[in-house]
Amino acid sequence: MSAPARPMEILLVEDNPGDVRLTREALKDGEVASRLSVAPDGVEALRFLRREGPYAGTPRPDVVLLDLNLPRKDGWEVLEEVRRDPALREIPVVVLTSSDAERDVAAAYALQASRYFTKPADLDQFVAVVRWVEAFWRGTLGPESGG
Amino acid sequence: MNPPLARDPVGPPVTERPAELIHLLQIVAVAANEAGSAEEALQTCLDAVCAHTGWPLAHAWLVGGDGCLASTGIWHLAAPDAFPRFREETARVRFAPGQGVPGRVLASGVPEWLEDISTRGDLVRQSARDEGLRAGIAFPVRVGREVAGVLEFLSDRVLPRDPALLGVMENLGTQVGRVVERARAQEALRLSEAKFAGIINISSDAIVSVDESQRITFFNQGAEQTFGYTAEEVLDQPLELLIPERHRPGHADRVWEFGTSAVAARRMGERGQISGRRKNGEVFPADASISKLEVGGKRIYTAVLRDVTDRVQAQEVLARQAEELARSNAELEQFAYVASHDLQEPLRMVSSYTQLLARRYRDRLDDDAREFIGYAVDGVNRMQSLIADLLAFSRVGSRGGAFEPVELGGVLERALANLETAIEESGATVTADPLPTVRADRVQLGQLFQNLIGNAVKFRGDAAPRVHLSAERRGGEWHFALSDNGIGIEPEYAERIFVIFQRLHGRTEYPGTGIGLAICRKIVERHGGRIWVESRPGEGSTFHFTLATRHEAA
Repeated sequence: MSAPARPMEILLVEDNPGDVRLTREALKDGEVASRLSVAPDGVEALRFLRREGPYAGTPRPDVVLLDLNLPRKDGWEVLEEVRRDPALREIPVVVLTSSDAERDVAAAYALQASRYFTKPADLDQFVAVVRWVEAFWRGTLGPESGG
Repeated sequence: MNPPLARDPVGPPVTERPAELIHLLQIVAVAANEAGSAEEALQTCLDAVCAHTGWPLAHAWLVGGDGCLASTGIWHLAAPDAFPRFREETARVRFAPGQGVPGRVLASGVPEWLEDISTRGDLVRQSARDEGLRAGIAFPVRVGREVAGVLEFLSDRVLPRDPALLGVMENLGTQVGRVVERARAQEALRLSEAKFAGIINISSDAIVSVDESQRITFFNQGAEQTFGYTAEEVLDQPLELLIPERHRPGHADRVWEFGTSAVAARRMGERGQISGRRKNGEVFPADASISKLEVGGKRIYTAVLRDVTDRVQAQEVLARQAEELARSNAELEQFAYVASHDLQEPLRMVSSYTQLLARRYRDRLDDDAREFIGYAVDGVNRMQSLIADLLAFSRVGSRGGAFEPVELGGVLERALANLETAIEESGATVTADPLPTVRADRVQLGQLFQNLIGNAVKFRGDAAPRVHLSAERRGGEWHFALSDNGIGIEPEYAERIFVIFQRLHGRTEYPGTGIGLAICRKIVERHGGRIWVESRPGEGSTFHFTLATRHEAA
């Protein structure tokens, strides 16, 4: 394992504080070395990614964890704009949402989501998701794993 | 009693002059031809013979529906009140063929001439002798070979047999018979016409005839009720009166086209709903047929028409209700989907944070706290199962796939593969008849098979489960039966088990939410079939379901 020493920079686009905290706890329980930034809606997420306004000095995230149901600008629009923007389109975007509808899964991959996860109710599975994200970023992903 | 006549017991020979007999015959023949009815002809005959012979009493019998002779009430009497007892007895009796003098004539077709009835007490009515009658003559009224009636003449004197008269009387019988025959035919025709006219007239269907110039020539009671016109108002009026304005153009052309076609009758309205117009201007939907008839070189068109306002309205109401039902079902399914989806969100929070609590604080919590958390987690898990099932249930209708030819053998194989673990653990044997290919939703039939076989394995008794799926074509549908040797079900619960979240067993005994069979029923019903169970506790269960062989996508 030739992992980069620095922690993974994550942008979590999520409006539910419960899920934000849960993600933090899962990263902690999963011992994933990371720095988590949070955007509460799609507009903020895009400003963060483009380092606009207060986000001028922020690091470019290694991975975006994107919820789909968001205020102001939803996850679909964020995904679409990121993929259209030459400066952003290389950033891996992992959809992490409550929907398990096939239609949503297919649509997300059509918009070139890197991976689609339904938020698991089980804590261990949540940990497995964030571990998968880390492995994905570090390029050490084994055979199909995670949710 | 006729004492003056009774004094002379032997009458004179009636006549030997052929001319008089021929005259008699002529009278009767003319009367017979002119008679308006059989009664009139019979009366004339009796009167003419008695006028000729001077006999005081004559009477006509006709054969009734029972084949016996019954009095016609037609008499010739010397005096209006003569022979009351004989007339009374005659009115009362009926003679079967062979019975009494009239019956003998009826049976043989041969006249009887009893010169002196006092010697033939066995044959004649008692009252005849009581009232001093001495001689009797009876001859048949013939219609072809059949005896249609008997005419009898009685005298208060002994009458020597007169072969010449007898010959004439036989001839008279044939003359009168012709009248009876004609009257019978007329009566039959009249009855038949009356019956026909009655049927036509009281028919609740409107029957309207028009001539070639489209003028109304017949309008029955049904038509009066349907259109609100009396026959008087419309007879000889143009048919257009009964046709809504927008249907008038082209109507005459269509009638003409029908008139020249080869068919004698046809249903109207093949180009759309036929409509009629009532007197009050109201337009109503109708079923109608039209026929044509050539009478005396003229063509008559007759339409038989039925007001179907009620049926059309009922159909509209039904269609509207079906539409509303479909919409409310769709809304309900959408509601269930959205509700269960949104319910999962907060539940996931409860579940995750309860687990986090248990994990992080395990060492700092006492046994009570850990037990409480255990119940909370268990409750959340059950709630999640229920919501997931509710979602699955709602998706049967709202998220169903398209219907396509589905080879059920393959569907069964995949269902068994999904149940592999349960089947192996229970040591179950699952067999099946050769299965057909049906038009269906492949995914849902897989779910149906899996749920039913899964249940058969799950609700097993002490023995290893033996499950068999049979398939049989019955008319327009396939009938399937899945039999097992499991614990069975009380018949009283046979309906309830198909209702969502109905369970018959404790959760610890047999886990599950009680959704499986509800989903099965919804799937089968979406495929136009039925599902039911036959079972007794301890004797296994057989789940039956049908699938329509031809089914359009729902």
